[in-house]
Amino acid sequence: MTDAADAPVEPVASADRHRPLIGVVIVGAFAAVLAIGLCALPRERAELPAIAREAMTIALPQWGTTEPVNEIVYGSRGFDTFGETFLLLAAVVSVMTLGRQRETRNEYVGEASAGLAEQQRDDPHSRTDSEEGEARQAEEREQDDSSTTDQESREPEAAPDDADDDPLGQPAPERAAGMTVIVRVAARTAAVPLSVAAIYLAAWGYSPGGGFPAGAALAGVILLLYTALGHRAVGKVVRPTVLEPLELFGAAAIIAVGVIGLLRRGSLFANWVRLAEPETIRSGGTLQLFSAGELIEVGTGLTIAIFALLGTEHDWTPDESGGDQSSDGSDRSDGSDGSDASQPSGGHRQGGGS
Amino acid sequence: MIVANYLVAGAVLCLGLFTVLTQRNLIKIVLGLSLMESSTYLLLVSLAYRHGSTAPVLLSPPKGEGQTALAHGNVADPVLQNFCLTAIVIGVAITAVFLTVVVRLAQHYRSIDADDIRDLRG
Amino acid sequence: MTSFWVLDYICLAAVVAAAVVVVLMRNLNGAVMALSATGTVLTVLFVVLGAPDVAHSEVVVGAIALPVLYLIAIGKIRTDVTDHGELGESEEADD
Repeated sequence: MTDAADAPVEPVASADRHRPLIGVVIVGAFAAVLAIGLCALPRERAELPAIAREAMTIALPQWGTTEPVNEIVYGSRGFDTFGETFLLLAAVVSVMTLGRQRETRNEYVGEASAGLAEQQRDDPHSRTDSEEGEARQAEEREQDDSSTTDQESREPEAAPDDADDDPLGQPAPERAAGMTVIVRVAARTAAVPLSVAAIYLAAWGYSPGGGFPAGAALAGVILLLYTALGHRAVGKVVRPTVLEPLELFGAAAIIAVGVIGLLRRGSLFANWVRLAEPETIRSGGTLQLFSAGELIEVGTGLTIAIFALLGTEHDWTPDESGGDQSSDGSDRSDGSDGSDASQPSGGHRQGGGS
Repeated sequence: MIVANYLVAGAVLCLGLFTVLTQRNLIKIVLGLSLMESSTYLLLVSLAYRHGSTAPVLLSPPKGEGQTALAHGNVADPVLQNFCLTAIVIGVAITAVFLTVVVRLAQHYRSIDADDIRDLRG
Repeated sequence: MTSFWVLDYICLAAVVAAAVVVVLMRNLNGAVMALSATGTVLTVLFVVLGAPDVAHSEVVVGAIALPVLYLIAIGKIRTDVTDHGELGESEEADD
């Protein structure tokens, strides 16, 4: 069977490793030390530590909840969960900023134009080479593909909106936005019970579960709808203007729960709500409020992180060593001609690219 | 006995460490880090286990035990389980940041082989 | 009580096997699936060890969050940009 050159081959890691022998020696020594340490750890017959026993005993009387782990996570060690939730928030923000393209600012800041000017000044001879030109052109094509501004070189029609009217035998990758009707119907019917199950995880505070698994399960439901129905279906919800305020509202709710506890009861995340019946939704006092705040923040945060990573566009930077003239050969029309490639420009390695 | 859990956690940690040390592909390095994190989850929960203990849940205590009796009885250690919960959340957060950096590296250097990227300039 | 230890050892063997597959597999997508298998077997082990809360978080992370992030990153790393439109994204997404 002829090897279809353009069929996307499975991404494979190279077989050769970095000096595996030294790696084995180092890891072996580390393993020996680790084994000694692990064998000295307290075994399963050890008495439960005092703090664990105390957490178990105060769960019902003081917090009115039958779930000590939730009482520890959102109650007595609430500050630790507060730090962890805001670390997740910081990670989401960093994923967003890393994934963002260098947007052209037209206000007084002018980040993109300033960046270009500075780049020209620093690296005068690094004009874009032909390979990058094609790539940028293909990039524009990828952008405006669905808005069907037809150029003769491109496929005439936009991506079919679902896999059914995508003719069979098309070369991969599949260009339909949605999947076949079976998957779409199954996804639609499964989405509602799944999201109810996710909300149940956080709502039933007195049983195992909590804000984080519930939020992640909600993000999973949104992903299910995205993969099955395509971007247009979730486009209305998964938008920066909708998700970011919601996430920060969750974060603000957590801060509010903590600070009110500090003001009224003297310690952060102390319980300032009247205790309800032990095995009802409202049982557990502020545990439920903290858990709900974390549900909102984790659900929207994970969705933002995943879609920001999904949306990172190719930010092509000019090749440092002025492009690998050896592969382009003579057909270099524009861009830096052969002169600067020979001139040793600092520590650049010749022939970049994989 | 529970030592087997500890030793398996140590073994998976060493597997992850070996991957991080010797792999050239950046994605495999991040996979190695995820393996090391999974081993810490296993170690923390194995430390929380007590001989013949039930889950630290007072919701519907096993037959014949009242809730307060269970609170004083033979249960696993909830505090260590909370440490493991925090570790899982932090694991997801940093893996997302690692992968975004790897994607940006691949786009900038047009290769995800650690050797090409290692000669950082300036 | 021995039935507990039998379950425990089976899950431990499965965790080690999945971890070895993650390390040795060259196909990146396969390695990510092996990591997801590790997470799922860990979830079973956490239930056996009496940690329901941790099992909830681990199943959600091991089955949803991590594999999706890895597969997206692997997809984004293909440096050829010839394929287009397969994600069906359109401009109004980031207005």
